[in-house]
Amino acid sequence: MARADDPRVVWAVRIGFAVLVLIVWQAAAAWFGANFVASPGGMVTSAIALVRSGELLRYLLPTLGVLSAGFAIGVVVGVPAGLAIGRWQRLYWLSEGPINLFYTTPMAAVIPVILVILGFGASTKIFIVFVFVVFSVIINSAAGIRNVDGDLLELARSYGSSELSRWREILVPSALPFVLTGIRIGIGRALIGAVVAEFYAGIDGVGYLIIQYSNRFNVAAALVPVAVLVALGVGSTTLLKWLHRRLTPWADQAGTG
Amino acid sequence: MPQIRVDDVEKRFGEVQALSRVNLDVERNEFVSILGPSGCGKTTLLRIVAGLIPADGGTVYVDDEPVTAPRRNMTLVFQNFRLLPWQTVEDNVGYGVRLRGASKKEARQQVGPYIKMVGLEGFETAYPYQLSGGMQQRVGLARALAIDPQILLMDEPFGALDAQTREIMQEELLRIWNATHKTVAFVTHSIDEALVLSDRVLVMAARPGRIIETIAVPFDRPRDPAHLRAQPQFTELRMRMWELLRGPEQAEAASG
Amino acid sequence: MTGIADEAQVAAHERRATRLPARASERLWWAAGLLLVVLFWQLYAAISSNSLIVGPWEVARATVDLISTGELWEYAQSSAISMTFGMLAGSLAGLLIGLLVGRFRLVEVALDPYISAAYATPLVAIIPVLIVLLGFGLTSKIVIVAIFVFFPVAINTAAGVHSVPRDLTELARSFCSTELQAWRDIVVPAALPFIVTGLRLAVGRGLIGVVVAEFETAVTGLGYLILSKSRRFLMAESLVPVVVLMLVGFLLYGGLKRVENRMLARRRGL
Repeated sequence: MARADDPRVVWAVRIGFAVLVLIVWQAAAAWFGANFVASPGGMVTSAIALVRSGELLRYLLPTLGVLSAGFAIGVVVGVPAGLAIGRWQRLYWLSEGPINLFYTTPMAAVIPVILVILGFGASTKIFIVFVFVVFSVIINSAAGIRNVDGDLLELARSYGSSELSRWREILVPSALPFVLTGIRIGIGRALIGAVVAEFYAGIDGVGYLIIQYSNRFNVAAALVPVAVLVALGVGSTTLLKWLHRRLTPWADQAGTG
Repeated sequence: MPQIRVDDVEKRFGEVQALSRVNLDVERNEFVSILGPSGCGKTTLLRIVAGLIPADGGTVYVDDEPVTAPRRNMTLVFQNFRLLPWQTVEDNVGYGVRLRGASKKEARQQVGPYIKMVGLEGFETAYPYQLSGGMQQRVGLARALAIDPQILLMDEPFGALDAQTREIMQEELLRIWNATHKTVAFVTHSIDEALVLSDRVLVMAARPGRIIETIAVPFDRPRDPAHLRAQPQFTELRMRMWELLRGPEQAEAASG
Repeated sequence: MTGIADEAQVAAHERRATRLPARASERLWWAAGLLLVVLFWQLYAAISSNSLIVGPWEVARATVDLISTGELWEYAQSSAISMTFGMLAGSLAGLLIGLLVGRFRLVEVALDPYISAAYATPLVAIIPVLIVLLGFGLTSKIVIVAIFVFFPVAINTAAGVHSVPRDLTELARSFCSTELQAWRDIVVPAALPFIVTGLRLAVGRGLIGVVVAEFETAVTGLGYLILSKSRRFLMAESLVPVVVLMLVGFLLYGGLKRVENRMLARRRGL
């Protein structure tokens, strides 16, 4: 379709789609009652109120704090662990079982248990985010090392290189795209962990806001923190995509280099 | 009346004139090679004849009808085989047959003789990834033959094969052609191949793509490629075509 | 490159990262690793001063209890129903949209910002809102699972349609194939492994959806079991559904991966 390459057509359809959704939403609000379903207008009004009162920011900051801390620790622990696991065969075989098990588990299920055991504080939430992030980072980092071209390592050996130089010249650059993918998947998981933890650890955070307003059937207000999370998700993903391109220009997004 | 008639065909890709005023005829049951260096437009020409891409100027007539889309009595054999990797040999060969409405079972029965014809008996249930390049191309050939087309269009079909397999396949193709006498348009960049296989060779030059000479191949059929290559007449023709292929390139190199 | 295509590549990437144990020796190491974890867990639980930390032995006993009272089965059933119908609905919708997005470039670029944004968002955030709108019953849970499942299926199905090499579509044209025949012979078989990838990723997301939905509706299901038991400080019992979910997630993931691998093996050389 030549039309698909015409940016005007593309934007027309995109905006058209958004307008269609807004119309349907407005109609639903009219049909079911704006107090129940919430209208686009109602959401905007709530948004303005929440921002003006500073409430939104007050609840957003702790979320950002928990996210950053948990995510950072997850990456700092996960990347070296993943690289090590990828590099040393015995370690890989031994850890593959548990790590795959935890990776495929719906971690959200454990959150209430963790909250009861460790308490409702910020450090618990950080731990939860960490758990969500770390397995994805480990698995993908390990895969990055294991996918290193054996020919390149043989080349290094034939030149008599040291282990350190191998890491610097070959292993880390080869694994980098995979590591970044793991981080990218990790951040999505981090958001899930943070939000669900805040649902039940109850005193601050964006998740808490959502629960509060939902419990009071104030859908319009509840949608505002949701929108904030959409922005967070899109923002962090975009940032990571940019980082990926910047750091590994030789590889496509999947890092198949 | 020639079965295939290419009448003043032009084709442009952006700034590049891929084909310029190309005229050629292929008679019924004739085996014609289109020989030329890379980039001379021979594959483009074949695809226009096949109806896969339109010409920018001129017309291609097959059986006196202008070609606007792929035809049912013309099939293609591709350089990169293009087999369906998730289907067995017999199902791949039966691809065209099933498109005409046959069920899988019916198709398998119908294609038996064609699988035999290309020498793949016993491999009916193998998958493409289990076959060598030469065998995969045999499947491609059988598939093209299985719907019994009048015309075969072959786009450097042996280009992806190693030298020995290539020669074996040339012998196979000769054998099959002797049995079926299809009209064939065969694109290649190998002089040897063109001389061994065809009745006529159309030599093309590049930039713009055009036919610079038609050479009749005088050797009697059935041909034995091994002995053929040793004959002096073969070597003469070969030299002549080599000069032809080099000629326009030298002129281009001079003009820069 | 659209966000949709990009996400699909990330999925393909992740596929390479997660492997199933192939040889018997690998399986032994897997088992050994898991055993080690269980041992460490038991050790930690034994020496920990926190009475809330229970070890595997207690969880095993609690499992037997919950099975014998029929409690586990009852709640598991509810989760299974939500998951099954949610996955069915979400996968069907995802397949349809995915095929359209893959086939029509205009649809792809038009929907791309919305689908990518939704995929990057923690969809758990809308669960409380959806429950307000749809109630506390089965409907809301099925809808929630369906939404969670929809996106990975749609994205990976689109990737599957894109993965069809142009060579093969041209082959179909040269044989005068109709559009419908080309779908049957080429597009769908080519897309199939990717569709399975989508389903595999959807299972993980669907499980999260059903569990959190059950936390919120707090009436039935494994999620509710976890919540209610942990709130009553019955830690061993609260971990039983967790273990169940772990196993279900793992087995489904593994099973689908096996199917995926087999399909991809046949495509070698594509």
